[in-house]
Amino acid sequence: MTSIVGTYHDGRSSRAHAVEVECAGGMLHTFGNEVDRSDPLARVVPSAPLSGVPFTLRFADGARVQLPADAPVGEWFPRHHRIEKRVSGWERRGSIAALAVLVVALALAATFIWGVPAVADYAAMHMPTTADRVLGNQSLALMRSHWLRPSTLPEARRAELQQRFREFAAHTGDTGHLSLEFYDSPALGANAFSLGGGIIVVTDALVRTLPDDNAFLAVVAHEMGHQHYRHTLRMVLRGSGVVLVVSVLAGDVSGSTLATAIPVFLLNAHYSRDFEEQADSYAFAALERASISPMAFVRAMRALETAHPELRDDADARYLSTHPVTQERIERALAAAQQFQRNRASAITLPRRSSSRSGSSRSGSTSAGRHPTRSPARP
Amino acid sequence: MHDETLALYPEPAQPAAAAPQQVDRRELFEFRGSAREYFRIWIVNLALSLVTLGIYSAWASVRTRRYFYANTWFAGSPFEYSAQPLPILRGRLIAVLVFGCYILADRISPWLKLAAAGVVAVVLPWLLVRGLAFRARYSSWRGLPFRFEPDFKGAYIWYLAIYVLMIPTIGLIYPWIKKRQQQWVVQHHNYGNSKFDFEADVEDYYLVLFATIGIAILAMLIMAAAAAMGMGIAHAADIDLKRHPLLFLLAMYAIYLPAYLAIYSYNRSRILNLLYNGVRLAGGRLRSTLGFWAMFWIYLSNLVSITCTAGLAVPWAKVRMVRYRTSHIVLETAGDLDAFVAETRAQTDVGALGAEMDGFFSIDIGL
Repeated sequence: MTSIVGTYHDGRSSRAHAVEVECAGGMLHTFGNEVDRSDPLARVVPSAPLSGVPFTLRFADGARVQLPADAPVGEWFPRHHRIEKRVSGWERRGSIAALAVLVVALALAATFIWGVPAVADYAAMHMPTTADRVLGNQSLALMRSHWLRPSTLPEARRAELQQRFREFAAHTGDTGHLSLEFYDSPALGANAFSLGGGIIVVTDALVRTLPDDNAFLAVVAHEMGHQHYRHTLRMVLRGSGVVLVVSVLAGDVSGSTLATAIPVFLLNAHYSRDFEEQADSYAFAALERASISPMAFVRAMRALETAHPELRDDADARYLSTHPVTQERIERALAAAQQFQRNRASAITLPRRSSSRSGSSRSGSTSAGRHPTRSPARP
Repeated sequence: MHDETLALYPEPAQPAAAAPQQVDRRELFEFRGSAREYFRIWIVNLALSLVTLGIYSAWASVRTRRYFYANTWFAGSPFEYSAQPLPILRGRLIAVLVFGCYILADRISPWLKLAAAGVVAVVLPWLLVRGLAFRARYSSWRGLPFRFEPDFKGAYIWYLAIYVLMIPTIGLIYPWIKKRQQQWVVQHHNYGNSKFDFEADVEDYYLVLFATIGIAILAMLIMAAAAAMGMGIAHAADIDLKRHPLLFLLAMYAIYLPAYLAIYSYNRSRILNLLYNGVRLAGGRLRSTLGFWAMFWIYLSNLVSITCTAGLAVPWAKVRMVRYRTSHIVLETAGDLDAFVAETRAQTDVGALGAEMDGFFSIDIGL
């Protein structure tokens, strides 16, 4: 049996003693420069193995001995640190490290694509609607002090739109808490957004830009979709979740706030695009229920792209944008309009239902161009 | 950006009876870890933390700290970190909960945010004391632990009440506060039965503040010039930045980051130097010679390499920074490093909540 060279500290002074350590018959023998002791293994506590870190064996009286990282301490104490022994074995192997890179990548993707949204949405579902209202009122107050001025639309026109909105909303079942508000805002241009708690803000420029009242309702329907699914609150919760997870992960990494700013931004844009798509789908369904063709949505998009030509974007900007690329939105609206026509036709001519399948679901998308609009933007 | 290396914890030293005729020796700090070795530890532990939904992260953080402490050598002996994972897990769970509420309050309403910030400000000194006590309790060198005397009253004075004076002095008192805070932290540390002491001139803190402001102004001027130049190039090349948000964002970062890091590195290196240079223990003193340009370069290249490798360079970045910092601190002493003795009373266990919380709220204790 060979002894192992180590360093002994008696726990009372900072003096180091060079010693040799042997393990035999359930006893640990430590001897050397002014040290000679034997302790039963049961009275010695070993540290967990870690590559590049010496073992520390702690004795009951506060003394300790340090042994090199490759000492067979694990064999002396088979029942200690079982999990960390296994981990320590993994930490020494390059192949496991490569596997761990893959696991981390997949786990991070799963966390941010499913985990955080799922937990945040679950929390949102269990929060009272007061939370949405507080959020909405706060944002509205903030926006009013910066970008919103009283509406300059004629009183009668506003009343008319309010009336149409109420009739429209009655079809959806989402009536009670919604409030439609008009503001003049040179800074925001032709724009509409949904704040939490049922507040939908429409700018004067938007009303002037849209060609007809149905197009107006299409934009409002999109914002109603945000309200219906409580997107504002869910976005707040998801965003908080991302920050929390990133803080836990980045903990003590140098420059973490700066290095994580871009990924966090992209992630939030990703969630936002999901919500926009959901709100679009809601809008198409709501329009159909009110017997309005989703073509109204297409007209709104096209009118807005003319109003904001500076906002054309490129396909490479897709992941930066909080909204899906407009072409895709228009195509989806066209498909919904197609479906709407078909349903209508089959409702009128019930007996000849089977022959109505031939229409292309993709007509008319050629002229849509790739212009985005800011229309149904949320702040 | 706090604790970017790890709390390079302890500053040991030597005991009394420094004979005046003796010439001071220089005892070196040295980091012996390697980026390759730490990478494997880091990635395996990160994977396990993620797979276990964060539960394992307490074990991961203990292993990380043990690695850095044990590879930091002073006068031929390594430091040791001996905290247990379970208390850290408990502290971490509470910290995550509290921090989650704080972020949420921040996003829901400014009033809630204000209230939350108020609550945090009131408990912060308490957490600070607990955090310092925890770290000291489980850090040791040559078998003797460090200790932080829990002085809650002092914490509330120096980390809360004193800020009232910022108002009448329009902030000019800040360097003095900073000095007193460092002094308070250092003076409440013990190694064995030897007390740490702190000596520094408040003038030096004022010089650092003014120089930082000067660098900030200079950086802003350079930033403005760079932005104007970038705009000019974009115009000349007929690139409409509004149509290339990605390009625009990258350009913004390219201008903003170096400027921010320059200001940060200057302030950080100088404040750390002031802290370490003030430390006295039993006749010895620390000498810290962290350089502005060196720190700036490390921060900048770390950030670039972490971004370019999607985070895989984190271990290398961390090891570099720690290696630089440890290699620029020495202890000047004439005394005998073997002669420290332990306190007679035994230390009790310390809860980990404070130590876990300060990681989230960026309590900069400057160690």
